[in-house]
Amino acid sequence: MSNPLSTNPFCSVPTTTHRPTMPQIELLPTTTNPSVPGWAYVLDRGLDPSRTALAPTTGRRPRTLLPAAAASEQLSTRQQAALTRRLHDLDRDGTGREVEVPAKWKARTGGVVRRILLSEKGWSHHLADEEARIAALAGGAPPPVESGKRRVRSGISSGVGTPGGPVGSGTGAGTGELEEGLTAQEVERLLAVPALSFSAARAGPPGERAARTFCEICGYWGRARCLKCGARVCGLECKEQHDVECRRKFA
Amino acid sequence: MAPRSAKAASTAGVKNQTLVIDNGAFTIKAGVVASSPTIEDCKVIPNCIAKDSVKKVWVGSQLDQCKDFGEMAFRRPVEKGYLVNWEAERAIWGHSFLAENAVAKCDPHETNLLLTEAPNCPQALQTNTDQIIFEEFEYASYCRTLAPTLNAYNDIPSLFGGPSSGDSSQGPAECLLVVDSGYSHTTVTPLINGHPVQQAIRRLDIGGKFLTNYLKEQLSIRAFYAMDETWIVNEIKEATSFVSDNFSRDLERTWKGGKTDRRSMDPSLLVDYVLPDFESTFRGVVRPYDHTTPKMNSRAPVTSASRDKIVTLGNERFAAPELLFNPSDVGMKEAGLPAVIIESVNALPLGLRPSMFANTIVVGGNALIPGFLERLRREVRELTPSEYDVRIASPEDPIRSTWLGGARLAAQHQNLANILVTRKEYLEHGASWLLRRFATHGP
Ligand SMILES: Nc1ncnc2c1ncn2[C@@H]1O[C@H](COP(=O)(O)OP(=O)(O)O)[C@@H](O)[C@H]1O
Ligand SMILES: [Mg+2]
Ligand SMILES: [Zn+2]
Ligand SMILES: [Zn+2]
Repeated sequence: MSNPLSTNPFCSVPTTTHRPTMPQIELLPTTTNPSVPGWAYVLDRGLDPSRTALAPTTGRRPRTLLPAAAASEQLSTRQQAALTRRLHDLDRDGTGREVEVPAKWKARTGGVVRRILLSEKGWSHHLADEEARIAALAGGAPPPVESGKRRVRSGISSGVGTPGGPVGSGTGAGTGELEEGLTAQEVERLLAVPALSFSAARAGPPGERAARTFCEICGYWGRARCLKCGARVCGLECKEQHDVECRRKFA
Repeated sequence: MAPRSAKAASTAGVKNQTLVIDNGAFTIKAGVVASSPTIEDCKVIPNCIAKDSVKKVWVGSQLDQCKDFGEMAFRRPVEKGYLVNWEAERAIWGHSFLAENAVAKCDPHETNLLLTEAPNCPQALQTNTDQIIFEEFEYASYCRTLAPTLNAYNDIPSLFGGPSSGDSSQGPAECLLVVDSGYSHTTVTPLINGHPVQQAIRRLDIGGKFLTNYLKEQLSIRAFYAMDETWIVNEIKEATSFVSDNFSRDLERTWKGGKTDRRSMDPSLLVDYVLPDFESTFRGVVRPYDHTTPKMNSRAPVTSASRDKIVTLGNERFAAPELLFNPSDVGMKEAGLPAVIIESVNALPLGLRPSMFANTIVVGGNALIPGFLERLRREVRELTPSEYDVRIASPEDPIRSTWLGGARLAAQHQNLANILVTRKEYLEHGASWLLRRFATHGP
């Protein structure tokens, strides 16, 4: 083997000084990866897959806003655009090839029905319309509940008392629990609150736990990062495969 | 059941039979109900128009006859879970409910329609639907309702090991939290006596479509170009995927190792999938992993000599379903399903929370992924105060569960009459009146 470092896959990553033709790679520090002088390390939040896996959830505080550490994980504009595109693609339907409605079922009626049947509007148009409608409502009249920015977030409470009466017995599917919990008027009021908008009903942000990253090639942990494009790989072997694509894209 | 505002039940215009349609993005669940419905009365109809590789067009249930799904392109009227394109939907409905050999044929003038929609639907789409129902199809009477609500009319006690309530004459479950994980997304809906608590409904923007697309991406990197093979990859997903109960352990066990420290993968986590060739085989087959057979590899040139096209699946089996629990694995800024359930319940008054955690059901196709329910139970348990009882169950047929609940409601004629709006009422009061009515008078 010509590479003197090849006995350790994590240290055998060439830098430009060794092999100027190879794209660079950055090693990400994990607790199992001691820093080696002469190698470039990415500042990270110290993701340790084995540790995060043992604590897969964030405990009793599922809700916090953007983790403070997120700043160090700022994506470049290009990476952010790529992520947005990928998420959009993953949510896409079909292949985009237009499939025509058979002539037999083409619209024949007139009036309002014809307008609906022949509408070219897709989901994104409708969502934009709906948001404009809600914004207009909020601007003119007193803001309706549905356009309210976001719901109040309360951490989950272990308290089992409420002004309405004792609760906590309500573990079974049996009857009576509701009456104990809320009065009929309270239930009536609760059910009268109008629906949230599409956007307001979206799940809140993930907890503080560092996002896990994966090897783009094989799906294992993304322990190293390509310096050229930021892609994650697990090690040297997948990096070599990645480089073929990477060179083509960034040549 | 307890209608929220009892309306003088005018049964005039209400017919004896009801077409119950759970209009999903992936499939329509539909059937005509008169009395004592069973799950077999429910037909599952692909909610799409498809064009195959030789440009033949298939509408809805015609696809049941189709054999060659290679490079099949799909057009779906339901986008993001909402009925957006009525031109395509009308064709599929026409084919399913009106045509000569329709699978659930019934005369709209003699039929009530109970139709589902996904929560948090834009109003313009709701009005489009109302107008099409009464002005194009001309159903005698109609009710549009949130899909999850209908589950309250099922035999909920028996899901939690309680005594079966037997027939469908009993009222809706008092407190029920419905997790609906379908094609477009996953919603969490708290119900009180079958009524949704609107402000507590939450949505995770990951459903079966997202998982299939993710697998397409992974397979294209590792095995074969799958980006145009939605149908095939969806089949692979449904046949092989599972939710891991220990993701990092399983990821380790399915890693090939580094260049110099090869590992042997745990064969119990691997399967081989033999792709259909659409000449002699039309469905894929799952086989035990066999390291001696040659596998497809997107890096190696396709050798025309290889007979079977076989893919080995390792972490591909559980990495996609994992996204329901960790959307941030693909950089999505949404919490995983367990935390979304907590978020929904926390939007309820304190007094209701214990009953919701103790009466949670999961419906929709993703509930069928092995390991899903167990993982959800464990993680919700971990996020919930220990004095709360966490009970999460799934009906035997989670795909048709919403329909069955609707059918049971439809069989209670008096209660049904309370929520239906007749065509006459619509023509009298108009579309905006109907919009308001369904917003406040749901079942
Ligand atoms: N056994 C299964 N394993 C994994 N996914 C499944 C399985 N069965 C169905 N699905 C997925 O569930 C989704 C359809 O669920 P469904 O509740 O019928 O959706 P919708 O109501 O949106 O049409 C599809 O994405 C399908 O691939
Ligand atoms: Mg559905
Ligand atoms: Zn790798
Ligand atoms: Zn690169």
